[in-house]
Amino acid sequence: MDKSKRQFLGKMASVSVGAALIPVVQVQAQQAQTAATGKRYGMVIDLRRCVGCQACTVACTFENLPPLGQFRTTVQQYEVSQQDAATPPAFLMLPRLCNHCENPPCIPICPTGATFQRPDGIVVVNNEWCVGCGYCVQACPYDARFINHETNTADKCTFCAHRLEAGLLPACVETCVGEARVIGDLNDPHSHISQLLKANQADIKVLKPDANTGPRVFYIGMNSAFEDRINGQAPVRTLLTDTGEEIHHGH
Amino acid sequence: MVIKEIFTPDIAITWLPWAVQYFFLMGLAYASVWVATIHLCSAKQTDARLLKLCACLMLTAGIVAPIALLADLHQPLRAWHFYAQIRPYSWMWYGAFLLPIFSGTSLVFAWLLLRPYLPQAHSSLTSSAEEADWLSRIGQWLRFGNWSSDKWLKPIALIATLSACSIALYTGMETMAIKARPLWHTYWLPPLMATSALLAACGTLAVLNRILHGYQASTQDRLLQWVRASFGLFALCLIGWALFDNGSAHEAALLLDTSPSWQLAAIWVLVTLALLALVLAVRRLPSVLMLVVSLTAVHLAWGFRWIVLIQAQTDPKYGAGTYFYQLPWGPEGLLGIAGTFGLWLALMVLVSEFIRHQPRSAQQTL
Repeated sequence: MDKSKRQFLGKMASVSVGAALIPVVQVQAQQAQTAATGKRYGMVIDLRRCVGCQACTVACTFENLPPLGQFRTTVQQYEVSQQDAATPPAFLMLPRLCNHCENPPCIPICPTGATFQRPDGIVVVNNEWCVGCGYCVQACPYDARFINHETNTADKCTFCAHRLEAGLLPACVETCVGEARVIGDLNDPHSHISQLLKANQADIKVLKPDANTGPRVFYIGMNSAFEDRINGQAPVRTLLTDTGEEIHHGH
Repeated sequence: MVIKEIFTPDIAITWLPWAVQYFFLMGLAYASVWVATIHLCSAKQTDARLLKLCACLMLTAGIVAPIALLADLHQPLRAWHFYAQIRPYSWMWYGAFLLPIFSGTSLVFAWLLLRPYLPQAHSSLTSSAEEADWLSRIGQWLRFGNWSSDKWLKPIALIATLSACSIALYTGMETMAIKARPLWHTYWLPPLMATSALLAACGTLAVLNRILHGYQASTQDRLLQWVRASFGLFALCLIGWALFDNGSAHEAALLLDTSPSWQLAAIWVLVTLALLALVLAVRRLPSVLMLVVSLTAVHLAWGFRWIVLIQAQTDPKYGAGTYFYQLPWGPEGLLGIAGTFGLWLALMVLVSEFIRHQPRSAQQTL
């Protein structure tokens, strides 16, 4: 093989290796961008203040534009009645979102590293790197993830990281009429969230505490019957198809 | 306290029927490698027909299965992302390496088994009309010469079998590793998947023996023993899971209490198991009944994967009851299932065309 051919092949090899490494560098770069703020974001949701108006659901949808029928946050509504007929039923509104766990089960199983935890604790997805295998969706014990029908990649709540970086509150927090949702730095003992957690220490609960995920979304005023999977009656559920057509069934 | 869900979302399934096709076809491929190797290493006189059918199955199912897997990725063109970093805690990441290794080893194993049946360049048995046939010419080229490949068969069979075991392990563990789904999170799942794959492969081989030209009654008898053994293993694993598993079997029992679709699934599994057990207990089966048994075994293994992979996703992680799933008609549903089976069938036809020309004897022609 003559010298020019060898040089050409050598250059091609460097270009190929370089091209293959670009996305790796991108993933690492994205992680580096949010390094070392010393913060650990978490959210407290005071159920005593939630009226189930779904303003957070709507605000999140306006802010993050998930496809029709898919949500990063919702407020689930339950009727709770006692065995005796004398007590009237009560209603529980349960806002749900990604728990940005301390030990997120969605991250280690990701085969490409597209989902990762920022130094400030927020779990995010690099949707330019995600292959859409859905493994993280299966692994999340909270059904907080979904495959976005438009991007065909994993999608989830990001605590509106883009707004936090701009000094704004997440859309759901900002719009909450009852101020039920409070976000803040769990590492700062003087932050509003830390104060709230301290003041309501006896009444703080997380979802699925036995799953060892270490959720960083805390609930005040939640009955322990709601900590784990609901043992109750399901409603008539509906699903929206990609075209917006509603399909439903009864139980 | 009585809790009624008033307003909660229905969660759509994430792994689509493509996943069932992948697990099913990959099961056929790795289990046919097992059958071929065990037969090759244990039988005093090898059954050429059985080995040839195994080779056809591992080759065709081994090609279609990764295609179904790629289709289940919502971003199939990004599949190369698997190879751009190290993810040692993800079974799926290991699978991305184990799968091409299996494709390679099973391809070589199948080629070695089928090579003697490919047309030879200057065979006296080949007619002049066949020599002009382009398929024949490609077949000749696929032999890569007229050298003897027999000495390579057993070493490659062992390598392919190890690789097949790695696929059985990773596909089982990949699903079992999901703690969030109690139905999946049981050590019984990988053996259940593997034994049902073996059952499906033996059933498919028996069907292929029946429908492809060159039916051999002795091969069918041997396959009946294989079906019996694999059915026994699968039933034992199922009984073991039901009796000794806490989390997964407990979750299934809860679903049986409340969900009509799960009750229907349980009735279907039990009735199929009982019918198969009853028929397989008969010493000699008429050939038609053997065909029915084989098809029933295949349908049991496929249905088992449907229940595990699709219906299990309708089991809510937090909510009450079960979620709703309706099989779509398009590529993400029925068309995808039909398409993968159609592709497999087309490949079977193609492979059987390549090896129709020059067998060692007229008896062994496919």
